[in-house]
Amino acid sequence: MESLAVPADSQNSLERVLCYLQGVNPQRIACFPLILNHAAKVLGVPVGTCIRDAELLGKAHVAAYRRYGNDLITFLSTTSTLAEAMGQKMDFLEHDAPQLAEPLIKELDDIKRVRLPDCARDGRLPVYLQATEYAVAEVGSEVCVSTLLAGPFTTAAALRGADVFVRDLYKNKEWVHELLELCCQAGIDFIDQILARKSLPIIVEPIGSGSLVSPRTFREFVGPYLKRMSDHIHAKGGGLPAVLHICGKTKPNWGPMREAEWDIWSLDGVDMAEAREFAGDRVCLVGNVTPANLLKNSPEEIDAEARIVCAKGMGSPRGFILGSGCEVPINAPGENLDALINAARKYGRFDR
Amino acid sequence: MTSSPPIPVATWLVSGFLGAGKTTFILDQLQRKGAGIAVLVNEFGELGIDGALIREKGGIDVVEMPGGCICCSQKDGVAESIRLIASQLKPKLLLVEPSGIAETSELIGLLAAPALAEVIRLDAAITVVDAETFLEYSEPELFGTFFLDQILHADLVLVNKTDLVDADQLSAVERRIAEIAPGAMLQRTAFCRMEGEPPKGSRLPAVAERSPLPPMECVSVSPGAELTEPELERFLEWLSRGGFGRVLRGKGFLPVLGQGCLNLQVVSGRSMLTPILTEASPRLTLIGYDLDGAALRAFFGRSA
Repeated sequence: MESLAVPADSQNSLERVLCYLQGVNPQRIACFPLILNHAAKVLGVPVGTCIRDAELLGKAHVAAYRRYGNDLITFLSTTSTLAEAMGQKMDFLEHDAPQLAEPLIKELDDIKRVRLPDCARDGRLPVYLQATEYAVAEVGSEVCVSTLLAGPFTTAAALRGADVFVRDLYKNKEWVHELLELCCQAGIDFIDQILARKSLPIIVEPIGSGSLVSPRTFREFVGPYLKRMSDHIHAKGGGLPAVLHICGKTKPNWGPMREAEWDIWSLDGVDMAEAREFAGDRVCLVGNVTPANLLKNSPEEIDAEARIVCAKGMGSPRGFILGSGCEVPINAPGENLDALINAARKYGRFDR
Repeated sequence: MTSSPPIPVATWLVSGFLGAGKTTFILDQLQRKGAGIAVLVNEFGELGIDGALIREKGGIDVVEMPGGCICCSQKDGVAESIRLIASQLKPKLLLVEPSGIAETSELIGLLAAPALAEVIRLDAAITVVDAETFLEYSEPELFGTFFLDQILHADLVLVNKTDLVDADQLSAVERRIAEIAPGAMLQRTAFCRMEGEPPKGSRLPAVAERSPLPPMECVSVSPGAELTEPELERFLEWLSRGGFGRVLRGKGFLPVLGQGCLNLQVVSGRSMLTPILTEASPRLTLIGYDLDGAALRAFFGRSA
């Protein structure tokens, strides 16, 4: 049994999220489970069909919001979407996220094959943008809609193959910067299209985790490009916050992450109490119930885990948002997402 | 009448960075052991087998892992693939070859998890290293923590390409591995031809009983003011006594009053300071377990 009754909400999702932007406490903390491909399951359509059809994708995320009441709609099917629009081939699966096919850049000279995408035409960027338009029109007055894209470092790794790219960081530094420049520009172009549709751009940079890059490498190859993106969002976003998600173990890179000036960090494999201490009054934190647990644990166990996360994150001066550390597994039972969001209602209250 | 539970499939985890020789190792094992081996690979490319989820080639079944991202959400797919292999292919041995940037500790956590206990039995975590590149690649802060993690959590480290390096370099490689993972079992190989069988969890407790090591960490600071001699001595003493955590490796430039920046190298708990002739920005990086970044920053009086 879950340990407390679930109190009713007195604010809608948008009102709740706006409180964070205004620097005031909401009735209770927001909850951002990263519902990505799981949305297809809510609509009852195969993932591989849903993520290639703008209408289905839009409807799936609106259906997920209506089913769960998550406080953020998150459009993303794979962190390789921008790379796909730049020429990277993907393998599409019926019941899973698409996977990278052979890397576009096999030889250094293949960088010539990388193109800056036309967001209205290339890859599935038009699918994302049309789905975003649908969700904003349908439920934008009650919930914040976001459209996610990979950061330059992750996009470059997708184009090159992550193993080889990590070695390039050491062997071919100048070439890596040339590639990152392209990926950064592509990302900024897409951000502009997202902002034009009144959606919140969120950058995901999983290849920048501490498992793969050291703080020195982060400062040299990840941070400067992320900084350009956050600067761009701050300049063009009409007051929207710059939101960064890095899954995995990020703690070694918190120092250089802070230098890139993102307002909201969505974190995964870290201790939220340590993150809160580090974030101080500069960063709002999102996280970090273990994604795999959302698939295999019971609602009671999710409730217990979320309660601990809330205890660690609550009181963060710039705010705390309960969330999943990474993508909600496609086949996660709905009851576990209910338990997660109910935990925000129970353990993240400011009205008593 | 109830059927007896299936016998868990013997499993080897084969880690190693790009170019170390993982695929060569697997191909060699396939040749030696013949039919009945299944391989779970990160990608088909290197084994030269195309497309589709399951392929059979000369009695060898190869299954592709979904994703290939280091991301947490991919783990579920790996476990699913393993169950599929065990139930449908019933191999006598399963070789798991993750991406070259995967953390061995993460994979051990997955393969030795209770959820797979009746499906597979992780007999050995083998890491292949390239003797030619190991010394440069294992420097602190060159890569993220994955590179040292692969060494630290291996039951057996194959020091490969020994035919391409001289005796001095080979000794230096083995010393470095011993610094990172004291007690790790090493075997020298050329063309990744392993002699005999790997140990079954001989360095650590039996795989199924392993308690997970804490995550390896990396902490960097930028020392502000110059240290006086007594302060430097106090710092080194505190470092050697574990005051900042269990440090495996450290490297940096410390500003010392009247001496400019000194090059600090920390190896196996020993600190070495040498003068440097060129200009350098003060900086210190420590890699290890249970590192106390706050204490380190407090010592130097500013945050990184």
